[in-house]
Amino acid sequence: MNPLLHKAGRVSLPPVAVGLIALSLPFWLIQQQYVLSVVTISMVWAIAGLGWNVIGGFGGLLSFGHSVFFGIGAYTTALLTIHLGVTPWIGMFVGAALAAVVGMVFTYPALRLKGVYFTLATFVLTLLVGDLTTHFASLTGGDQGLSLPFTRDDPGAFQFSSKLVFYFVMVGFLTVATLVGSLVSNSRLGLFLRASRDDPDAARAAGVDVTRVRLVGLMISAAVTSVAGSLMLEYLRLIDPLTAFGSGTAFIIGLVALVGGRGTVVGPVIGAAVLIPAQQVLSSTFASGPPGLSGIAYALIVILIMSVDYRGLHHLLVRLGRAARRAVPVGRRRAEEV
Amino acid sequence: MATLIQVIISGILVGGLYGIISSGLSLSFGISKIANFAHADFMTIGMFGTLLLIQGIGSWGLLAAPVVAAVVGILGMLVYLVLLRRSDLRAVNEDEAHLPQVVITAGVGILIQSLLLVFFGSNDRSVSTALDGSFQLGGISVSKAQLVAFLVSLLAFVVIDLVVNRSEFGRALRAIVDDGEAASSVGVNRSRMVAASMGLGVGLAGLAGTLLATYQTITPTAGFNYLAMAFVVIILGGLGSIRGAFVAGMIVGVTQQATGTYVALDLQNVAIWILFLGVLLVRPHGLFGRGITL
Repeated sequence: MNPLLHKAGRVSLPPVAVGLIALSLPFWLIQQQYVLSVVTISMVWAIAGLGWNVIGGFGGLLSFGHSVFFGIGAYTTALLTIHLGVTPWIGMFVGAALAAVVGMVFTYPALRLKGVYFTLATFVLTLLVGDLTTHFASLTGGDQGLSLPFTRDDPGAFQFSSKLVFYFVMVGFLTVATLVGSLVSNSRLGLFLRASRDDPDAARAAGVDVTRVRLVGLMISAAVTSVAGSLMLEYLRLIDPLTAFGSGTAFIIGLVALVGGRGTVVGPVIGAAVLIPAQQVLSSTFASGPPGLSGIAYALIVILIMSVDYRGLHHLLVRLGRAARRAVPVGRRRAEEV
Repeated sequence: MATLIQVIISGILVGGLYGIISSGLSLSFGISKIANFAHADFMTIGMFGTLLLIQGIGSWGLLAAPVVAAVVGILGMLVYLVLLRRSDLRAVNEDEAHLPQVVITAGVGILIQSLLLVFFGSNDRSVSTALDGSFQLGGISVSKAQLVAFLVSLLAFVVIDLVVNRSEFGRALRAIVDDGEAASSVGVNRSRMVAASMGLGVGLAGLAGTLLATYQTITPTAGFNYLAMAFVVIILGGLGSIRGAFVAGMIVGVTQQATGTYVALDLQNVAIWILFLGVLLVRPHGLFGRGITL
């Protein structure tokens, strides 16, 4: 086969698969409004996780503060809508650009150091921006945050006639985010990011500018996660410092990618598809019990998955697939391979 | 002038406590390279342990602080042995080891917070002990509880410093930091030493919790707010340096008090976060020394 075509196929397979599956869900799985909202929220976190995965997965720099980019996206979009009447369709890209610049400026020193410095720098950065957002209440609404008015059916202002239409718009965003992940993974940038992750010294020796590669990766990562923040704002119609910059948000973003399989293209989507519904179901199941039970269950799920295989569910599925193939009698397998 | 002196004194008093929280984190981080994101939640366990003791037997319960600290330390050691050791042993490089550990310890942190929430609810609690109230000295007030907490922290610091720098155990610890493989080849059991340093470090968090409980509101998430602070302190003090952590703790305490007093109360942490990002830019290996020194 033509190698160019082959590569195009490899790049487009994950986003096409993810997009088609997500498109099909309302026709067989989603029969209730509740399920629809759970799946919609899962997609927002999947997009945030896909962003995280660019630097956290391919780049190997574990961020514990991607909520800062998520929050910058949400707040920028909200402020532009409220004060200047800018449509979210533009606001979210302004937010993405801002998130990329903030990420570049503040984590640059950490990019030159070992991974753990980056983890701490992002953690501190999200706390810093969160504190500042709470403090400057006249602009940001302080603890209460900002809310957007509901208007009827106005696609230009990201207001749709039904939740189902909103869902299909989100499928579009999810597909594009997966495509970005797939493009990075199959590009020279992805190769350099992985090289810098696996052995920075060897990468340097081979002529890779490790810091620059990480910087570009971080900017893409921040931008994608920032768009997820804008989408969360549009879904909730409100945003506050805790939702935007809190450590809970920071944790979920990293977790969907880590549990799903960091450094794989569809890992974050798998992670979000498992973790977010689990979290939603757990908290509604235990709603009548004492608070904290759902947290216990959630923490145990995470600890269990990471202990069984810290490379995540994607890897577990691959292993299961291999085991299943091995279970097929050898003679038949040989025949198939020939 | 009185305000300034007050700021410095209060800063040093809380800073001593930060120093002890952070020395604990530094022990597990500097030696075992475990970024323990549940460190501050172990401190919360110490706080609730103290709450129970004081509710049971009154102020005398404070004398049992070392017992609480020891129990918390053993919990920490168990977390290492059961959950972290596997990934620690099989990791190919340092970053590879950090990753599952950060996630698992963060999961343990959520687990601790949730368990405390189930058993104690989310209400603010506080204890009243013989240490309530404060000394007044010419317009400067010094909280008795904070003063005692500082003195105990200082004592704990001296003990830890002696253990790390003067004992056979400390020599083995430092050997592992310098060259793990060489240390193993001369008979130092790395896994056991890491478990011990983790237990010691988490135990210090437990001790800090018992001290903090005497003057802070106790909630299941009370400790978590100190997590970022502790990381900032150990980076400022130089990774793995116990003395550095103690001094940096006081710098952070004074900075925080000064910002809270002269700028705005809700910005007191902002100064710390900016200080941290600044230090990362100019002196990434901390204010004192470079690399791992003990």
